[in-house]
Amino acid sequence: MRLVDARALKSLALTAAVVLAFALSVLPVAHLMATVVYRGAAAIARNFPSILFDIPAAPGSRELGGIGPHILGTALLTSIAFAVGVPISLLAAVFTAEAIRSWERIVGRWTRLLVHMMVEFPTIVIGIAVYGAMSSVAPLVRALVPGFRPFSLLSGVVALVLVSAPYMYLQVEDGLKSVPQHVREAIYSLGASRLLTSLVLLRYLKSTVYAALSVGLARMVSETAALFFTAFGSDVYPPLDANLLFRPIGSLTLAVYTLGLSGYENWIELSWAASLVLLLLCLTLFGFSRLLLRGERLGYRSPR
Amino acid sequence: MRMGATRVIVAAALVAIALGALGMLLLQERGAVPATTTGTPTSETAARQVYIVGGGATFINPQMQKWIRDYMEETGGRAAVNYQSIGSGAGEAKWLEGTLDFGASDVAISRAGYQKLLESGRRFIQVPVIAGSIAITYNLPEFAQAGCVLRLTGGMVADIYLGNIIKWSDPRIAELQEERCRSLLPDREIFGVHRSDGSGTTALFTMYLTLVSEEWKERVGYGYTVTWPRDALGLGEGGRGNEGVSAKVQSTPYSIGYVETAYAVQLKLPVAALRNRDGYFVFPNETTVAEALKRAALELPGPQEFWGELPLRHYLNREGKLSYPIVGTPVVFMYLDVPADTARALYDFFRWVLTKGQEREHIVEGFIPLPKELRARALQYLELLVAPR
Amino acid sequence: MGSKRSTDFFCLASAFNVVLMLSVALVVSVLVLRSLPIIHRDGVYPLVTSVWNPTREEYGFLFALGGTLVTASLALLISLALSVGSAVAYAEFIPQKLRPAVKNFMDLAASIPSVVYGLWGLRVLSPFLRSYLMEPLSALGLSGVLGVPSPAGTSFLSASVLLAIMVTPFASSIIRERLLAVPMHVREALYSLGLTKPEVILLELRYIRRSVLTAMAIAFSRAVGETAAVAMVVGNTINPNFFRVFSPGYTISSLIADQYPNAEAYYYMVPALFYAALAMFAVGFAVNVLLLRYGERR
Repeated sequence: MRLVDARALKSLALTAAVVLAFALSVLPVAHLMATVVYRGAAAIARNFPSILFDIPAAPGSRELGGIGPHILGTALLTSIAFAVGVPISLLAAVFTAEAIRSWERIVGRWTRLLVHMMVEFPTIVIGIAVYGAMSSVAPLVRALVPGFRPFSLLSGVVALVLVSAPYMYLQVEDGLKSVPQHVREAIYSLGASRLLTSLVLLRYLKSTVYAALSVGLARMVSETAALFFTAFGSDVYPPLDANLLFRPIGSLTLAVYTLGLSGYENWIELSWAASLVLLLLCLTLFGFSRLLLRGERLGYRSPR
Repeated sequence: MRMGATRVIVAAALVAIALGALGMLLLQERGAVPATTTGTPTSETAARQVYIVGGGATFINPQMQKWIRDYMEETGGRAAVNYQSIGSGAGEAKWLEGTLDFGASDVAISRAGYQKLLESGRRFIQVPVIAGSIAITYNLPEFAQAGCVLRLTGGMVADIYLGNIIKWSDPRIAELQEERCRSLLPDREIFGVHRSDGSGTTALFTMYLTLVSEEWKERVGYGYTVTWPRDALGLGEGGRGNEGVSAKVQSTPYSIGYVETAYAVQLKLPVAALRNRDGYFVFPNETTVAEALKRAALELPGPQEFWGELPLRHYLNREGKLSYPIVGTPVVFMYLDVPADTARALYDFFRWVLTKGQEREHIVEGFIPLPKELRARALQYLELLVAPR
Repeated sequence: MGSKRSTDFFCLASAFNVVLMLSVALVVSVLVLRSLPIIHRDGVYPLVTSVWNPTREEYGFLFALGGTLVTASLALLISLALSVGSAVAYAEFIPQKLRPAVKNFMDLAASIPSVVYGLWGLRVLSPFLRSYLMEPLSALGLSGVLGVPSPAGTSFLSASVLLAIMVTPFASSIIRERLLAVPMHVREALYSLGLTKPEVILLELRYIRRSVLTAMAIAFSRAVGETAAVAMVVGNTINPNFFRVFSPGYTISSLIADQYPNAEAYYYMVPALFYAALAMFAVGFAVNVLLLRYGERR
């Protein structure tokens, strides 16, 4: 009798502990999302739609202003970094996975090793390294582009590429490695060149590739630390001219950080608004990748 | 469903492009300026929009942001100024590197920085833009209840942070207070709060302490960050930024701290009266700060001289019945050998700052406009930017 | 493979490998080259002292190294409990119908930008922890051991809890997948021995312990390198007593974020910060290797 009681008790304790752990891992995040939605929506509603275009009002003033330059900055930073990072990571992954000759295999192995290392780098370290590199080449670059600064959209783009390309590379490469040899040989037997074969394989792995790209994009959107000393931040619109690439730019994540730490009521409100915009962006990207994965389940037969 | 993924991507890309285009259109219509702008700038003026980048002192950030907004509004958005509060030291370093168009510091260019400037042979100017002062704030519930105000001398402040004075009831403190307040000083240890991050506020404050205490000069010295002897006794702690120090003093009974007066005013913190060189107890306010600074105007070094010890020599602990002893002027520095349009943009902005920007409606609560003597000198230096080369 | 086919444009793709390799090399070399001056001057001294006095060009960053280790380890412990617990809850107690929703929620949580976690941590979590955990415990006399909470609640503890909340969704999803992948026959065999549910679960966890270690290794390296969120809640104070987790302090990443802008006003601060970054990387790497040695290879 006692044995059964002890067992029931033990079972109950375990259930309780496990449910508690579950609640403790879900509730804070739920609270975070609710807070961001609540406070962000309140701020956005207060000054809609100009909050999406205006610059932040003076700190401590009763006005709210907006986060326009930061939205523009995130759009520019991520779209350019994406356009640069995707070909690099896709083609490097293809080369690594499809390497045949010994020098190719060596290059592939080293790339993989170094990229694995890169993933371990804290992003702030990538940021200061990019800044360090940019400031040492700045005098040379200035001979060509007088307006060039190490604090610039360009530096921000480089940092974002370095932060997210490794992830895209590793995921795509893993995908390519999982393609069975007979599929590859079937394509070759049609007389396709290696480049064409690789492209066909990427198409074959479409959903994996898309999923990798959306993860990469999400990382670019959410990155903060790597932008501190590269994009620098800007609370005003830079002139939208040819020198745009060489001027500092803001981003939504930098806005959350600097405005949120500022201690001024109206800036903190803007920080919540920027958080909500970020949350929505991530939600969209997330939904997007889910949609693609569903496509995989239906249309793409696992090679295994 | 196989085509589903592609279709989703194409649709998303189209939506993104459409949104981007819409955004760009809206931006252009607004001339990429705040909604408050009157009139729509033509695309021609938008193309010739000027843009300058600055960074540095955290203290002047609220004031700088207000100036920038008011100025951009007045110019109809043709000029954009990007100021980031990255700290005085950073402002100097990044400006020296040529990363910023102008740097701003609570004090002035450091000796190391000045050395680099001389080596580079570049021409530059330094210009004060606003007045500031440091308030000694404290948390003494007994004094607050009785309506007493703490009085201190500089030497005593140094002794507190050095750890030579341990308790509020110390006779040296007591003898300074008004009769009725003297007995209210509690037999409690003083908790000394200071800045943890590198800051011009600390630099100015510690410069003052080296002037009033030989021991401080020997043992500690001055700088953006120093080692605080009181911390070693377990009776002191750092707070991040003016906000951190204010918050810590507010929440810790029997503590003392130093903050930019603007913060003390905005947060309504109790402020101690400090004995000046002539022996009078004064509070930091517009009159006492202007009084201390107006003498400095006549002695202001040339725009390209070494200003690193400017506060030490000319601002701090000045004579005069009404002079508050811990005052300073945040300084902005700019190169002269920059492209003409950059020089013009800098000139226009700072000329506005030193003239219209000093009027009450453009000044943030707690900040103090430059005394007119100092303003005149500053404007004179600024002219070098547009002088024929 | 025919050799004719390999003399095509494919080889051009190697250029992109070179780009990736060069960028890694660039980051590593900047890191090493820039920290050389202080390594040359001070050797291991900065790693083992806590005197940070730029005026005298002294840069001991043990306080930040310790802060990083304490926050990341504490976060790891909390996250271990939370992620194992929630993975078990998912596998054993969550009804089949609710699972997709829970899974999506956890995956979404893992993709929220860390700076948003930071803002929430600063404005919501830290004050909460201060009022409901740190203050009561301090009142019980623990402040002598664990330190005095700061007014805003920013502290090592807040940073640890926030990090735990951030890494748990990810760690838990790895453990969850493994737990669900325990072969049916193993499970049935265990039950047929007459074991109770708790006993079976514990044995299952033993069975997948390598995956748990892997998950923890990933969580740890994220916790070590995380910057934006930690810099917002850790308090950014030079605090050599990094075991007093109620008090504010620095981690290496927040030290860099906070001090790097000012660093160039001094001679050795930039090298010191790069040295600190190198140390942080080494710590993360070492712990990772250690945990992965006992965990499974990815």
